[in-house]
Amino acid sequence: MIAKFCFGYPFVMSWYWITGGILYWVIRERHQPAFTHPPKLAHTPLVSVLLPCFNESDQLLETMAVLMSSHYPNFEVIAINDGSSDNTAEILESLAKQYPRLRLAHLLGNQGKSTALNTGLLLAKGDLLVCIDGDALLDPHAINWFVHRFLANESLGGVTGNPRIRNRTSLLGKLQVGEFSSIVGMIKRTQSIYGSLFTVSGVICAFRKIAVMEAGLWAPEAMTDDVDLTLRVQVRGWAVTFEPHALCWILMPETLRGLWKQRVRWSEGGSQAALGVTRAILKSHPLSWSLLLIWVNFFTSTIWAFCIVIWFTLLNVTDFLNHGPYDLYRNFIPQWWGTILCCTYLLQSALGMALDSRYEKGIFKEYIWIIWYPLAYWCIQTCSCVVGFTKALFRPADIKGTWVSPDRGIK
Amino acid sequence: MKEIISWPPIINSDEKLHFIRFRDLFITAIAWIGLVYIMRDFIGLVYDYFSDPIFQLTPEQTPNWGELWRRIADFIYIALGLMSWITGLGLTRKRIIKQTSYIHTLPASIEMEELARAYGISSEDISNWHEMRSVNVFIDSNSKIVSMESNEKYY
Repeated sequence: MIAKFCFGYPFVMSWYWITGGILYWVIRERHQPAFTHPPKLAHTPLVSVLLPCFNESDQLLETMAVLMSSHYPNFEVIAINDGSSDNTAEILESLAKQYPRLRLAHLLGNQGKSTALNTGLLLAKGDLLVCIDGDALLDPHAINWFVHRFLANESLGGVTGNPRIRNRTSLLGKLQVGEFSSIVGMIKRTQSIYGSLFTVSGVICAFRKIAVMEAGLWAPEAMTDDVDLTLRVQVRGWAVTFEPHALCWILMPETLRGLWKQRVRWSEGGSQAALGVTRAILKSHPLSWSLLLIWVNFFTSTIWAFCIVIWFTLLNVTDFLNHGPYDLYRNFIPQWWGTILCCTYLLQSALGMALDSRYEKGIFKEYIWIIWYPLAYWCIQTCSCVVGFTKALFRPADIKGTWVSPDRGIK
Repeated sequence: MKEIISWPPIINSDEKLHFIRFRDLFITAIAWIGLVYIMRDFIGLVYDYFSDPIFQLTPEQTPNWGELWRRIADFIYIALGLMSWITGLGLTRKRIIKQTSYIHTLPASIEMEELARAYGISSEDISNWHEMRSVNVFIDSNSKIVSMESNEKYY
């Protein structure tokens, strides 16, 4: 039974994400103009871009120069220096002289990303907030696309953009290009069909200020502020959706150590947020069935991760005891079901990349590296899920979330 | 500190050692070859099906279809069920998903009093802070913003 679930669940879900991704493209995405030609806006309300920074001296000039070249006519940038120990403060002050749209907040001492964002919200004059990380490069058209979505839907509380991987110097970097298209992009498109997301991407997202305030602001104790706020905003009845045209170029870890730390943190934060919001979902009136669906999906995936780790460990221990260590390698070679899963994933990746080829020309060059996902990379994801969930269960409730600066590619 | 060189701002492996690029390519090629090897029976089957006589399998190549179907049928039924469900939902919510026409009136701006209530700070203070370009922010041990002071010596 466990073996059936271990192999059947990813197979079934893969086809589900494929269908959802294509459906979203058929219903909405294909009718939209190119991301470089956003629709004409009926209004251009003031948008406040929140840019929390912690030791970003290496990236700030680049980030700010790109941000200031945005084509949206009415925006301010609020950079929040969260007690950086490098010369981030000095760089920001000199940038503020250069860019009149830039406003600064210096937090005395390191307080965590959530507190930095709450400070930004308090200072923001705009009713729409766009949040990006200090090392992310926002596409010049992205704000237009966000505003386009908010102007068309009063009940929309948040929108997530489309993060694209910048650093592709190693195998891990190149592999994540495919992962973001085939897994992240497909899941967000599918979830957008039912009008709820498990999370916005904290590195590129936009919120209606009132939705964040109604949800109780960013929570300092949240490990992953983005998942936590997304769920709470939706519990309050706001919709959250995906805007694939709003691009943002991001840096991702390119070492195994960095990747492992990042994925465990994501898993721990996701689990913490999902556990924390359980009662609110069940008590929501009328029942937020779309959020409940996402919640069920999250916990089924977590149970699957535990099942496969337990099943695979038992399989190897039994084989080791019965046949010795020399035949164990056979368990690591895909057999009948493994091959089917591998081919299904390769198909999902090809379709995911095809959908994202509108936003990144030449993305198919990275397809060659995707073979590592079904062969090895999924093991990192699965194990980090098990470790992260376990850590979340035993994490004291009052510990503040901290800044984590992952390795940002191989220099 | 870096300057922007090109757009899209992709950092690729052009400047990396040839050895590392070759190694990545080599082991990835091995992985693909490994997959093809694992799938050799299936590839042989497809080849047989499309070679002369076309659209026929030679009897000794024919797999046990009944056994294959028995193993996979449950998952295919579940996948088809979920795919039908999401398609039905998508079609039902088509109008909302497609929505592009703008609402006529923008929601009212958030009042200072609402912000003041959310943060537990006076609306006059918040109003003052909104006019400042650079501020130092004081936060207590509960992550609550206590006060701000102007840091506008530079402007």
